[in-house]
Amino acid sequence: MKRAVVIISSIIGVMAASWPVVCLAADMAFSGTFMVCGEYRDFRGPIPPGAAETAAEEELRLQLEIDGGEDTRGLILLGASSLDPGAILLREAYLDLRLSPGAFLRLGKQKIAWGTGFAWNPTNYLGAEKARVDPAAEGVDLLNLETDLAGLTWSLLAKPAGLWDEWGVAGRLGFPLSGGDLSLCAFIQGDRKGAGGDCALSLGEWVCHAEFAWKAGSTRAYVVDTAGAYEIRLRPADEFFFHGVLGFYRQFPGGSFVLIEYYHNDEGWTDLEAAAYYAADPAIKSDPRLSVDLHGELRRDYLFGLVRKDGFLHDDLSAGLSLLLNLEDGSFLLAPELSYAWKGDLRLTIEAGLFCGSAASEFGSSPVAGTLETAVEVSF
Amino acid sequence: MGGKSFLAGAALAAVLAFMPAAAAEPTGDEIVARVDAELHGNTGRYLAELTMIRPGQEPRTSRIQVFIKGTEKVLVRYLAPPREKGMGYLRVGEDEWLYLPNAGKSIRVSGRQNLQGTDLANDDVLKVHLALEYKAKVTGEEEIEGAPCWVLDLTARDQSTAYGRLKYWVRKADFLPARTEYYAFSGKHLKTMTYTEIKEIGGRVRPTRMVIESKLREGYRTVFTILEADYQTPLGDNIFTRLYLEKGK
Repeated sequence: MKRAVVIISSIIGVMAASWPVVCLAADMAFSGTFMVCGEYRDFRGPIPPGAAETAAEEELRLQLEIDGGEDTRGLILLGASSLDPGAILLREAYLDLRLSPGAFLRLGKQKIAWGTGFAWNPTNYLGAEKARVDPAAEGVDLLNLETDLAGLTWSLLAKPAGLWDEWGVAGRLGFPLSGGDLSLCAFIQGDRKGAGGDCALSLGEWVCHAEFAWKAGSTRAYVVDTAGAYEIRLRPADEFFFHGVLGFYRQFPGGSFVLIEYYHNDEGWTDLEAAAYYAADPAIKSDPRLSVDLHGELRRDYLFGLVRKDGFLHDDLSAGLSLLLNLEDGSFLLAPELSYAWKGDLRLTIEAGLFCGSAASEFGSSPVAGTLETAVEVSF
Repeated sequence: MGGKSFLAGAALAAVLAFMPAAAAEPTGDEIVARVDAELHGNTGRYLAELTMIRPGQEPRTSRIQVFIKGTEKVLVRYLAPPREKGMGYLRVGEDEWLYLPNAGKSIRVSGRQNLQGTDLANDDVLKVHLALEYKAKVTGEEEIEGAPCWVLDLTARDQSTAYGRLKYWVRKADFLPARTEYYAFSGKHLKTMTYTEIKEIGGRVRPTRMVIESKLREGYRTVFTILEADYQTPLGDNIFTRLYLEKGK
């Protein structure tokens, strides 16, 4: 961690000292964010040997943006985690080009933001379906072209083949409607394919949103051990399954925000299905890490709720409370959050996570009983 | 949207009909339509500062760029402070979106929501043509800062507006606003805006400093200052799209 701190600090020092001069000389604007965050975990018992999670994890993040006039922009997001001392993680790095007044190209490692869902995005085919807002989430190598043509918004994503997956292409078409938004999209990647859409509809002060996708293709897991890496196919390639999000939200005058979202995933397994699968495949059953991951990832029905209030007790304080409820086993993750903004340049955030439920449930069976996350973010 | 466009046409026709007969006293609707035309015209862009003043705290300033085309299209983009940079609002007709750079997407919002912690509602910036939203009636005459003004009572044409009623003071000499009082549909006095520092900017003579004083919270004020403006150069429709809101600069 110390080496990473030195490297990141050096980068910041060099940037701070020389980049503004370079940017001024080249008529470019320079801005960015520096974040120090930590996560502290309370385990229910002794930390399991070989567990990926540790009691404490700190990370430094540095995001730099360069504006090159009207038509170009570059962004780079670096991270350094205490879990991998000395390593600098490249979380995002892309270049924005405006090809014409209504056509934009983004090239490089980037996060995708398709879909109207907040907690889940089933149509975010080539990126992460969850945690899109998480600043620590890594981007995906993509060519991302968006344009307004014939009154419609066209988007095209192309992803090169990676270590674990094939090349992929996704397209999206947005229709401008009065009182609502509608988009349809499709993708193909190796033997995986799918189609879906999303919409948002204003109903007075409320907005109702939905996002859905039918997907086919083998869901795969990868096991890496001393014998090498091997792949396990969990589903036949021709079986279609449905992912859907339905929700609504409202902003209230005075800075309050309320969101409710339901998520259904046909691809997911019930406890019985998962148990049967593990029982039938000793190789999987003998790998506790994989079993735990599958058990957690492939659940079917969730409810997510979020209440947020800006100007809570003080003009510069914001408070939030979110609930992620597993509708099958009744377990839940409760996450209160408090953040303080100072002069628009500094933000302090503290967020807790409480894993609750019976010993056999998803959140109740988590080895972690609670987490505490803190972050200091400076924008410049 | 169609109804609003019809109202805009009717208001404009009313202004044109009123202009030759300068001696005749204009109606409330004619006055408000003329104020809309004087302030914003048909197209324009301006750079403004929003300074929030809170008791016992350092004032906080945001800088925004605003693009307006016709009565239906407005785009607002935050340029500063750094943490708000890139955020923006778009209105096309009755549809409004907020772009959140951290999430990388825009979401639908309501015009009644406060504009980023200020004493303004989104619609105070996004819906600037009052003649489309309110029916106006002249209720009297008063002087503000020595300038003779009409006093108008504006009532919402429907429930979609941010306010139920406005009390509007308009200077008789140049059809520029001098003061606005904002009332909720319940009748509660929410805030008062005063307009000062009238000068030529961007090819138009208009107030360039607006002070919004909250009537709900003692000592809460927002100062809206127009720094630069251009009301002459035409703006393309490509600016008023969600794609431009999310990717443009």
